[in-house]
Amino acid sequence: MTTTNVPVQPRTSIGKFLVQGGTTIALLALIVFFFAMRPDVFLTFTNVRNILFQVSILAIVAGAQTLVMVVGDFDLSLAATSSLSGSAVASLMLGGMPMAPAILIGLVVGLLIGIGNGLLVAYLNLSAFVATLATMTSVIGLAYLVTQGTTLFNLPDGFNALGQGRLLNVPLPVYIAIAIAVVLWAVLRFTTTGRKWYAIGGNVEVSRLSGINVRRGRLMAFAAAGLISAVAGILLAARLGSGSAVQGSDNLLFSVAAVFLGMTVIKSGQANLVGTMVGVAIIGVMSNGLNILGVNSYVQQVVTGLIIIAAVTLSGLKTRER
Amino acid sequence: MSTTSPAPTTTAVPAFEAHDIVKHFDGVHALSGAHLSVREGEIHALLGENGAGKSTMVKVLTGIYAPDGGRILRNGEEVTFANVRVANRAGIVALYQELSIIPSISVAENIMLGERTPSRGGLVQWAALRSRAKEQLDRLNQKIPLKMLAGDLSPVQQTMVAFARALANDARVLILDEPTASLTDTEIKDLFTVLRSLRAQGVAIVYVSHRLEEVFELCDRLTIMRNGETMLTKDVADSNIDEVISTMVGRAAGDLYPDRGTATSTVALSVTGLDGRKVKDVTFTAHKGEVLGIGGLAGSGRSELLRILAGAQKHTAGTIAVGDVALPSSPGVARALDAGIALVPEERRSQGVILSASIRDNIALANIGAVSSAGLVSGGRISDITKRGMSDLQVKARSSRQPVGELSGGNQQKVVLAKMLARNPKVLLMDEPTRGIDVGTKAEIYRLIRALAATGTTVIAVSSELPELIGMSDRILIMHEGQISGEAMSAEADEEMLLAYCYGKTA
Amino acid sequence: MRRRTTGIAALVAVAALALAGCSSSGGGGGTGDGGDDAPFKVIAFTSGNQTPIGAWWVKAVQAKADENGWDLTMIQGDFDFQKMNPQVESAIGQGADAIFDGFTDYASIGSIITAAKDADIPIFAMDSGTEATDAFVVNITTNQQGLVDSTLGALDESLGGLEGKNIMVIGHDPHPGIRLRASLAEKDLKAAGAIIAGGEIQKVKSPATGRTEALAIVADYLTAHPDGLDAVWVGWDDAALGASKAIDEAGSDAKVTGSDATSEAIAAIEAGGSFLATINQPWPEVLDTVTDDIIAFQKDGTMPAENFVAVDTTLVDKANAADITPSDKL
Repeated sequence: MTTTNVPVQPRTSIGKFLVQGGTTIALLALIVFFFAMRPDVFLTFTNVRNILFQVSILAIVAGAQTLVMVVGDFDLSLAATSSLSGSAVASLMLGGMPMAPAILIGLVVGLLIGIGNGLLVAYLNLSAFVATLATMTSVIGLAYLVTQGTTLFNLPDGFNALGQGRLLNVPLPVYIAIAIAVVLWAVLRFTTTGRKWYAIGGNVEVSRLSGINVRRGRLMAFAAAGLISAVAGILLAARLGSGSAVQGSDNLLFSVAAVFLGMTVIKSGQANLVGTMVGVAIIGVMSNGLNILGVNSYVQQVVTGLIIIAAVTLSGLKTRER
Repeated sequence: MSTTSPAPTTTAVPAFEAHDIVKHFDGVHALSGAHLSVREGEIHALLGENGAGKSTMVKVLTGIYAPDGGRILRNGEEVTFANVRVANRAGIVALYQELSIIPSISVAENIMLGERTPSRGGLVQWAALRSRAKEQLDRLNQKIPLKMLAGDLSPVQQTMVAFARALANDARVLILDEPTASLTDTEIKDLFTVLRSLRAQGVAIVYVSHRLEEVFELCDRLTIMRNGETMLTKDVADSNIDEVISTMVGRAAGDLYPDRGTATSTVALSVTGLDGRKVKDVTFTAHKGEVLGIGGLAGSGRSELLRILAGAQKHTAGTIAVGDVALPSSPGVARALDAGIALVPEERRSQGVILSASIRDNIALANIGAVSSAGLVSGGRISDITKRGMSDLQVKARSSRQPVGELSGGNQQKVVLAKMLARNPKVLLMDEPTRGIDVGTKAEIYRLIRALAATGTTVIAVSSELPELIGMSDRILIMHEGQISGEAMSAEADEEMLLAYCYGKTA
Repeated sequence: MRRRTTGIAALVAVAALALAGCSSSGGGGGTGDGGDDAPFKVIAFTSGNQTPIGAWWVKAVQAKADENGWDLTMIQGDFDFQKMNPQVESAIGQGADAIFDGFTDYASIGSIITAAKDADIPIFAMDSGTEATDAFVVNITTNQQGLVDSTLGALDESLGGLEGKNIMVIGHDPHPGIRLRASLAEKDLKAAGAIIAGGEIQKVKSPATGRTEALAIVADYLTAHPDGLDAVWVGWDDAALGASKAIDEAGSDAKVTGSDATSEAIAAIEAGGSFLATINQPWPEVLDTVTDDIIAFQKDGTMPAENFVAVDTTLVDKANAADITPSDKL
């Protein structure tokens, strides 16, 4: 006897589609709007390159944040970690260390902080909020110690080229950000590690009973996020040609916002890499477009907050529907 | 009825046996000498009233609780399950509705989760994953799109995915706890087909359900528990509903309950045509000085009815009147309280009291209007009402400043009562007034209820324990699927009749 | 249970570390080696200790205290007035002879001023407000109008006149000095016939991200108006460096001026890119003057003659860049 369980078709209506695709539609609408306002400028090669350059570092931090949010946690210390890594690399190179080992140490610093967060959250069972808030505080302090409160500059040209050099007239950080995004997407999509992260984020208990090492999974997500944010911090130092304890601190808020925006892109409301990049694009396009229109930066800040509220509300609506 | 079931495949050694299982919590026996023996290739019903020990038994069998005594045998050999994973590895899997799937990943991944995911060099082997997942679904005759997110499936499909995962993990004993609770009739039919095909594959299934008609349609044997003991195991074909109900109820009496009072004929509360979530067209009246009991199975809508009356849940149609005064259509808790309806909720620790706050603060919070004037709280007035409440209800505590969390369950319940009584309600609603309370305090609570009724308060109490309903109430209403399925004066009621109402046999 | 204990232990450890960190950076003086029986007690505080100049000031004041035998209490506020003000007030409560405010605007320390008035302790200040106030017996700051005059003069010379030129002004309102000089610059530029790019002062939101914010503002403006920018006047060097980078990357020949004379800015000026000039503010000299005022008061209670002094600043351009001590290397 055969039972035919026809899959329940998701009830689609135009309203639901709009909620579903709301974030992507918002991005398209922003692009159309700014293009209509300044057709001579907005979609030119120079400006698109500008936008990509401006969001490349945020994209990397947001990619790191996505990993942690896939397992159902979040990390407040990412931006601070990236500042510390960038400052450490700058400080080491000014102290005479060649570029390659300095960068390597910078990456290890990020990885260690990530592992620390992971141990606190997964093994000592601190809430992610408390643990990463505490590490953020300490890491900022370390960054002040490393920079002695000043801005480190006069970094080697070879290092600065990482952040400022161009290939085919497009800045290197854009390629690096795209490469990292593709790798993270593939990790989340195709590897057992990535699928385990999604399982843990979906249901810890079932995951555990199915033989997934939940603690190790969470630890690995935090560790990977720390390492990736170190990449972002080192690139930022190269891009600015300087390192300071506070540079890039706005990336924390924006990375969380981008992931939240991204969660509204897909139906299941999970953190996902493609969605995060849509979120990053919205933030970048909005800032660039409003700058081009000459909108006051205080107003820009208000609008950014409103977009985050809209995104969270949209994903909330969807959760309730399900 | 049993004609639809093929004859049980009898094997010499049961797949799974539990003997003389004892389990107690804080000195209270949840299980005292329970037995269960399940054969390969049978569907075995596990029955009993609420609190009979069924779910404790399931948790012992699956390694969630360690038993305090008794033996568990798997294929004739004694085993101990340190935790759920050990039980799972031994082929014993319990499936709960909500816990069993991961909504955020695909159907195929849900089935081949964790250790079962085929991979090479850290990469998921999607083709192998899908074909193995499909094999398991084929065993269940299910066609569920493998790439779909499990969260987008219907409840029955989610159950099927959970079954498929259990099969992929070589489960030989499946324990299902109320698997049909959220399913429609057609879905239940599909489920039964699948369960029968699993039985044909030699899987042993333990089927825990309140729905006796399902048991008689599906199961091969049944085991009935009461008060933590196994009362009976026999073939379903040799039993009948009346025997099952009387065995479940047993013969229990006691002088726990005070004498009944004499209700007046003055109507205190009248409810007409009430509709809302889980509540359908409910009409009844309650009288001044009456204790009205409301019974029914879990999910029958009895708690929701109380919540609607208390203004904590919206109703979509119908009217509620206290005396002659009709309440507005969605009153909210504050206005319901003002009208004289107060609720003592079921989840005392999460809804009734603030555990970290003191007795006086808990009482003051619910009566903030009475203890304050011009926005300022009067400490003296709080002391007054606290002192009165504590002495009226004989709350046992070091002082009125002791945190409620440190009190016993019974005394916590008295604090909840005290804070509601300080508002002098005309109608007091109580949801499971004696849950988690020891027997001695239970009697005290019954006396309090009776004393309140004697002063003219109307008490409406929901209980899932039939003896309690009969013992404490003047009159009893039974609900079934949101409607009132029966009414009886408790002096004339017996448990069998009430249980029949509970299962939807209308009077 | 055990798990919870370890969690708490870890928290305590982190807290202890944080506290240790605070005290090592926040401790400072209090041990003036004096020599007299009752050393002269000075409470010094700054909120800007995380900036290069603030950090210099903390060290320099400690050196002055050692030199003059003061019993110094140094309070560092990390831009957190909620934390700093009560600390200063409790120090006042324990008694002092003088109070020294470095780089902290009087608008932010109302409660300290009241406490000092009640205890009848004079407050000496440097760069703590852009206009005269009764709150201080003296506040020596730099002449903001002079600063604006010399930067605009440099632009005037480089561009060959300001009339009809597109000039962007970048400011940061929470900092009173930057706010004042940005508005003076805007007013004077308009008066000279220049066009303010973007129609108003462009505002950076946070000093922490000043460089990236200014970079994005100028880069985006240049894409929108490829030939529409002749110069960017920026209120402080960190943001000016971002503006300068945006101009260099866009291949524009617009010029930038800043203020503060950080070593990074001076290096950029010497390199000869878009960074035209910055301003050196003579903080060591100002500190000397305020210290002299305090010593005069210590001797015989002499109060400073004026309660507000604005000293002149030096323009730093390619010609004199090599001779200037950068503000972060003081």
